[in-house]
Amino acid sequence: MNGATRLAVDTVAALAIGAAGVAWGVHVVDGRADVTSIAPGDRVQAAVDALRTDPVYVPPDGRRMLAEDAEQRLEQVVADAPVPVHVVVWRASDQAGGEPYSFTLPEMIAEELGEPGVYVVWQGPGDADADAAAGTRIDFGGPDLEAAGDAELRITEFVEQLEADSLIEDDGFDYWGGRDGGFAAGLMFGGGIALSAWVLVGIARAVTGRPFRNRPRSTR
Amino acid sequence: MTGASKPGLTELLFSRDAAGPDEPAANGTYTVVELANRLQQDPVVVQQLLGNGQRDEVDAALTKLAESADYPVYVALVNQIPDLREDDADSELASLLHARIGKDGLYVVSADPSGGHVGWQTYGAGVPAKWDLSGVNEPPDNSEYAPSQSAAGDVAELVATAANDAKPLHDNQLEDYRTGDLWVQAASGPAREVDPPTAGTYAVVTTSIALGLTVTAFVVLRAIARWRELAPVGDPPRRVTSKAKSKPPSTPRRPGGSLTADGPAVRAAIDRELDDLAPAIARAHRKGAALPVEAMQTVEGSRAAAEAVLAGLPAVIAPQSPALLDAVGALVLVRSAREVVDDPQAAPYRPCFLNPCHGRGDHVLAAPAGTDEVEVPVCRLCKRDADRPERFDPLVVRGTWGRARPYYEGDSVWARTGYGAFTDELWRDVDDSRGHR
Repeated sequence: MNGATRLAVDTVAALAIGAAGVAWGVHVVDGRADVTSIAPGDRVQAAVDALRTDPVYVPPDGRRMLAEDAEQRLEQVVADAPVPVHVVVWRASDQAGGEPYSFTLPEMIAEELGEPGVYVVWQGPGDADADAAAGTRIDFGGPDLEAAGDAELRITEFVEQLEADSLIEDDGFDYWGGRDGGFAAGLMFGGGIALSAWVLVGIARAVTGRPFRNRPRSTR
Repeated sequence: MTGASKPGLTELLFSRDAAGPDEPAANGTYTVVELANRLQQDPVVVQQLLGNGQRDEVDAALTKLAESADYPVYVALVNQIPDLREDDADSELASLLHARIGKDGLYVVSADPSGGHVGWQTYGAGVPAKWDLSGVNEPPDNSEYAPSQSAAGDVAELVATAANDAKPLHDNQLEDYRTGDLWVQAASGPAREVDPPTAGTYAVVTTSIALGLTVTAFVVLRAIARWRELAPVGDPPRRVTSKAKSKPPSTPRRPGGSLTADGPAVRAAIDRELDDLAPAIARAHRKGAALPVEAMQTVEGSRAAAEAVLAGLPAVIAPQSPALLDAVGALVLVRSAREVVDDPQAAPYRPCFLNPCHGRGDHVLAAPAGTDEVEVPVCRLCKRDADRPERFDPLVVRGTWGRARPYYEGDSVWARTGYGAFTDELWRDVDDSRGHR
């Protein structure tokens, strides 16, 4: 095997090893996604089914917080809103499967329902929150849902302040700064690994009496 | 409110949210009386609010467990019921239900949607006493990443333990009631404690592995590819050596006086050539032409220096050791003396610079020395390999770190003089260096 062939083989082998590593990495992250995924459960599913036909869902256990007449008034407010709004008012339960918190439930309901718009979950004073469907978010300049007091009053206030541009595209910002930030961080980590590997292999060459850099010896 | 006792109204209210018969009539909450009535129709009542996301399956499994006991078992997993004690509402509710239903047996209740607390009471002979059902099984794993048991799972474990005559449950069974899909709290353990991966997670993982692993693999593979080729000069490429061995005729013999650079061979050569030196001097004298004074000085100086070096050598000369350099130096000194004895007019003896063991350096090789070039004497074979430095066979010595290097990269007197390549009177340099020790 001459030098050029060996170089080609090594290049292909390195790319194959890298590709296998990437596949493994994706597999590991998928595993974490599996571990962290939560099935919605029958209670959330019932809410999602009801939201398909009715923008405000109040099961019997939520009725103390939003009476029937209040629900009808809220439905009118939601109908007049410039963006789609979905509201669930019910008693909090961490014994009904699915997400138990008002700050995690809107996302789960949005994911299950799959319709655009704003999702409000009211579980009682101090336990209410709003979120937007995947790919969108409520603009930071948009209204805040006050999680205290009367559900009808607070949700009505919130929905009435929503404007057409309150719902903006989600930039996917996360711990890494989204896809681009993750790519940049990956370049830094990967570059560090690559540099370390180069230096370590160079040191291994040097201590065994070889030149540090992988260059052919001068033929002079 | 007695909605449960009026089937017509009950049906109407149930149908509103497509809820099952275990859902209470109004406000999603039973009264004690309604719940007792419902339990008399169906001893296992599970509201969706306490159904762990799988109300129907949980109800069926608990019903089966309740039926496995030898006494009546009533189970209520329901929404909070108002106007009960605050410190142990569940046990109180169990007592109230028993008072209303009036039958002996086990009453298990959880009316705590935001905590899943479970309370129970037992009544009658043949039913395990209340606290006999407590702490029977080993306590659950409470560590941060351990999944939690739902109230439904807690109830299942309690009823199963009661049906098992209050004896500890089998490990597999216990494991199922604590972490099985039907009984585990979905939003607990890793599902709650581990951050779910995002687009950024995928980006950082794929990018860093793609770059880091690919480059690492490439660097390592290339190092392996060149490992032999770039071996230190004292450790010639195996390929070249094996080729030389397989085709002996293509490798001409080294010139006369050549020997391998190992301790015994060098020492034998010194002994032999030193022994020959004295008779040679005598013969020279016998020929009548006494050696000139200067020549005699070189001969005696070289011989004395050689003997001084020899006296300092260890009994065993390790391969590639500094002692080997000294031994080779002694041999070169003896040969320098012999050269003068044989022909006082001849130029000083210069061995092959790259490896004095190769013998006489009759040829000249230009070698880079810093920015300059120096001409060094080399043997015929080293001259022949001038364009293939990887085939050079220099005299090698191992340094502090065990690294093999050609002797002339060191700082011994032999490196400075090139074993006579850079000096006409090697013995003086050797004497000087010994004097400085």
